[in-house]
Amino acid sequence: MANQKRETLQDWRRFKDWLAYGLGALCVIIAVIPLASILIEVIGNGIATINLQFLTTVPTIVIGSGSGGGIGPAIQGTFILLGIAIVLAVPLGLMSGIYLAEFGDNQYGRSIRFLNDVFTEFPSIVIGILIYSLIVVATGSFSPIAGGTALAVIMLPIVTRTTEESIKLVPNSIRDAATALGIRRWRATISIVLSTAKSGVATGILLSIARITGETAPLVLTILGSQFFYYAWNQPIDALPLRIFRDASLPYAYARQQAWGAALILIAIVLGLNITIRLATRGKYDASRART
Amino acid sequence: MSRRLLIIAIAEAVVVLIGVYGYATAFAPGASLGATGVQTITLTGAGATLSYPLLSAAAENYSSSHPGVAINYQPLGSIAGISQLTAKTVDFCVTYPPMTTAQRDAVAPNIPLHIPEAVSEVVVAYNVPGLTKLNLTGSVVADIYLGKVRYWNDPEITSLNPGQNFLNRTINTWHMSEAEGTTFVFTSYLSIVSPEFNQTIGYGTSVSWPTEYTDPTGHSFQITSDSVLTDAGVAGQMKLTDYSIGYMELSYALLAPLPYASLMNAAGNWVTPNLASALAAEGKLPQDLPPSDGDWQGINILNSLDPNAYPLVTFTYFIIYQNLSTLPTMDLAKARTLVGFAWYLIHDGQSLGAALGYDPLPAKVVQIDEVGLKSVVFQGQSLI
Repeated sequence: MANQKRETLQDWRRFKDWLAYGLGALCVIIAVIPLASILIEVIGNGIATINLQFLTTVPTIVIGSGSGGGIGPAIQGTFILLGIAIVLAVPLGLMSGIYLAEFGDNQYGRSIRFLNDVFTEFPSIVIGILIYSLIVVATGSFSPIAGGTALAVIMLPIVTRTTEESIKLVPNSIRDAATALGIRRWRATISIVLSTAKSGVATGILLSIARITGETAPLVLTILGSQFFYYAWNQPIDALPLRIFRDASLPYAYARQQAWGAALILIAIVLGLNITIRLATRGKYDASRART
Repeated sequence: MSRRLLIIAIAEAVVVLIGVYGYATAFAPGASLGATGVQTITLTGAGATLSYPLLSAAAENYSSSHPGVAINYQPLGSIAGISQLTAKTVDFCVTYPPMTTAQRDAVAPNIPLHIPEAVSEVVVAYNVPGLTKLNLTGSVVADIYLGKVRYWNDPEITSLNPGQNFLNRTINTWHMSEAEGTTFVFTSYLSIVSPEFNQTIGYGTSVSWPTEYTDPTGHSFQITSDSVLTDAGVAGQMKLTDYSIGYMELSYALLAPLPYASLMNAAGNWVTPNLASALAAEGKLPQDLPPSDGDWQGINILNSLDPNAYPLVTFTYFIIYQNLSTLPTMDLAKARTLVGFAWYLIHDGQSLGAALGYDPLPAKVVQIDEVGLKSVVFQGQSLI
């Protein structure tokens, strides 16, 4: 009797376990469906367009002339913008992150942290308007400098935040050990704390790059768009998200085809970055967890 | 450890920079020109989507006959074009309608020159399966956008098209969501022919389109209406929407391609938009046109009384500053190129328009343009 009761109870528990497991799996499937459908759709539509010529030539200037040409300037422009944004945002973000994590436990640090969090959620179009009035109007031209700065402003709070978080994960015992060995604090921060946290910091930087690669809104107001390759620091350039945006609104089959191709390249860049992050940091994460 | 990281970071930065530089020099328009010693000159412009097909063709042609010149025109919309010219971030803008008094005040003391650069026709395009010919009057088009006519088999439509078979399908109207010259032309015309349209919707570069219609007995009806950015957007979306109707510049309907309606003109004749019907409209231009540095607001060739004229005809304006020194990025060579391109546009460039659905400028307008372009200066120096 008691045995039978236990068995039904076990069955009930097993059923609940199975149910929870099933629901979990269902959630995963539901979450993956949009991603998979986007990938399948973009690859299916875009793959036919991709060839060396498409990647290296300029788009046709005359609209509606049949063939759309390539997206070379857009790819080049995206890399130039990323380069400028990285050069501007990474050193500053890194230093702010170190400050907040190591020295920021005071009123001043708390207010910076709060403002930084607010900044992270700032609408990117507003940042575009800010840079438009600060740089584009002041210099009298749309430029890669303006676009890169806008992206750097979006990137900065993310780099700051992730740097701070990963430095905070470094156990205090390591800091204590460094101090005990008579190493100065600044030296310990750079050589020991930052070095221990570097995989987390690198992940944060790569994630922020992946985040800004697809930004369109701030670019509309800062680089204008162009059919030509980069030729001067104070002239408009093109970028992949902008090209997709403009192409997709044209009624011509070639433009839509070009937009699919550009979307595939953009997704490949972002996905490539994310996969690199995963591969580069997987082992290190496990190791750091084991250490603490 | 951190030194190694630093070295890796520097190495990566160097690789990226070399890559970008190599990429830029290998494919940049200036790269091949550097060898021949020709300096690259770039003009940047923004404005109406109405003239984008013509301007892009003219830019391509002008660049191929003038090595080292690159003309970058971005179709942001007329109002955005004027704003960018006011902010001095572009070298020229293209717009319809002409600048308003407030817009001219905003750029004062600089004088904006209005160079009419093309004659465009706005068409009422439709996408109805099986329908290849459609007659409409301005007031019926107004009733469709007002929501009084909501079905394709409405008597207002069928009575104009005897012998054609219309299904009881909802009319899906399309309009532009951004401030656009095309919208200004279209709503100005409908406001002329339909007092009710003028009262309820009015005219402008962007107007508030109604979403429902309330008939005299108080019943409300939903209007199937959608909006999208620019002429190209409307053409693109209409291709995907059966039983739709929308307005756009003729070249977009030709390129899409979409069929477009014949309209009844002010003289009571059915006319299709083409070269002859546009020329007929141009024939009714007022005798005393303003000079380029004057105010063009009062000038329109809408709803012309000529018996052969298409009613939705308009000029588009190429606008530059009379004194180019006011632009921070301007230099003498660039200023010469800018005026040279405008000169090309109003002369040889006009011949490109025929294939794209634009019509040539009347001779007396070309004369006004010439006088205007000759008055352009850079640092006190005349450019032509």
